[in-house]
Amino acid sequence: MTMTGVHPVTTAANQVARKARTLAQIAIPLLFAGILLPTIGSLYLAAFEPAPGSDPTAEALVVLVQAIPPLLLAWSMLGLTKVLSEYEAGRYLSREASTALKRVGQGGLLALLLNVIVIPPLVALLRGDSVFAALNPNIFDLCVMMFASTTLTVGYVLEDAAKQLKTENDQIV
Amino acid sequence: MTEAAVAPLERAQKLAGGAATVAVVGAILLVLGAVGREIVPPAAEALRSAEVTPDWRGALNLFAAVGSFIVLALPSFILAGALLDLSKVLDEYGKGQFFTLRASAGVRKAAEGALWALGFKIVGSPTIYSWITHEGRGFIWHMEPFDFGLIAFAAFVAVLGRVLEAAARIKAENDEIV
Repeated sequence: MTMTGVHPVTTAANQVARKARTLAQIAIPLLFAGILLPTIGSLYLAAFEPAPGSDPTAEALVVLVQAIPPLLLAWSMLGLTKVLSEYEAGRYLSREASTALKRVGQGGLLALLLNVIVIPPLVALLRGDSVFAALNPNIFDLCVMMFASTTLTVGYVLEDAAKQLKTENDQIV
Repeated sequence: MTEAAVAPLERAQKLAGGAATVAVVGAILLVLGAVGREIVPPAAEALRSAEVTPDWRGALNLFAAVGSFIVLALPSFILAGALLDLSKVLDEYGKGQFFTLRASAGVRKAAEGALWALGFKIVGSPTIYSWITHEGRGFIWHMEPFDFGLIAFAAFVAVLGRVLEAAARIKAENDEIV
């Protein structure tokens, strides 16, 4: 966000954003590796070295299904680099930054909802266990959902504020 | 300023104000839920099992029973605190102050609180619990793949908060000069 003739944000803050973007570009592939590699290992064990009495196909499906929420969460983190690119350019309250932030929040909340509400009953179904007993989120999961939805609200609010700022600037021009 | 320009801002402020209230109420309910679900039942069980007697030993038994489950519920309490930090951010947004030091610092503090909560959930609470209940002496990890993603999510919000705080601090200094 810059004003004509006066730059309220110097390159120092933009450099913080650049360092953060570089770290994010390194960390995101590591995040995917941290999720995919154990999943591949678990898949191998489920398919070729199943526990006695368990169905290898069902256990392999359980591993795949349980990997969906963390992968979705990691995928939504890709929007982080877009947000930080905007901050690096000094556009802290731009529509692009706010929309990207909102999308990250939406992806995160969807991943959380899947992890807490959808995946446990699905896993119970695959294992032949009681579906309703599996729907028992703990308090920490509820806290995290509340935190993610509040963060998403921050994204929506910033997006609306950025729209208003853009409209004002367009009117001045 | 036309109505079209004002509408998104008013909507943003109303949304922020409402969400701030919801966040505070949510934090209180979550704390009450954590107490009611994770601390009261074990304490009641300890009372019923006659381990708690009206002397120092009984008091210590009750303290150990309640204290160990408070340790397990600690991540939820820390995350409720992070929700209160986010409610302060939304409060600032509700007043139309979108790019202030207070709002940006609030985002950073909330995310750092979430990271602490995850740290306690994964390693802190299980380890301290095992030490209190004499189940072990080393460090205990309870990490699922989803926790990895959650750490990344909280770290992302913390990074954004730090960047916004740096920018807001410089803007505040420049505004003072002007």
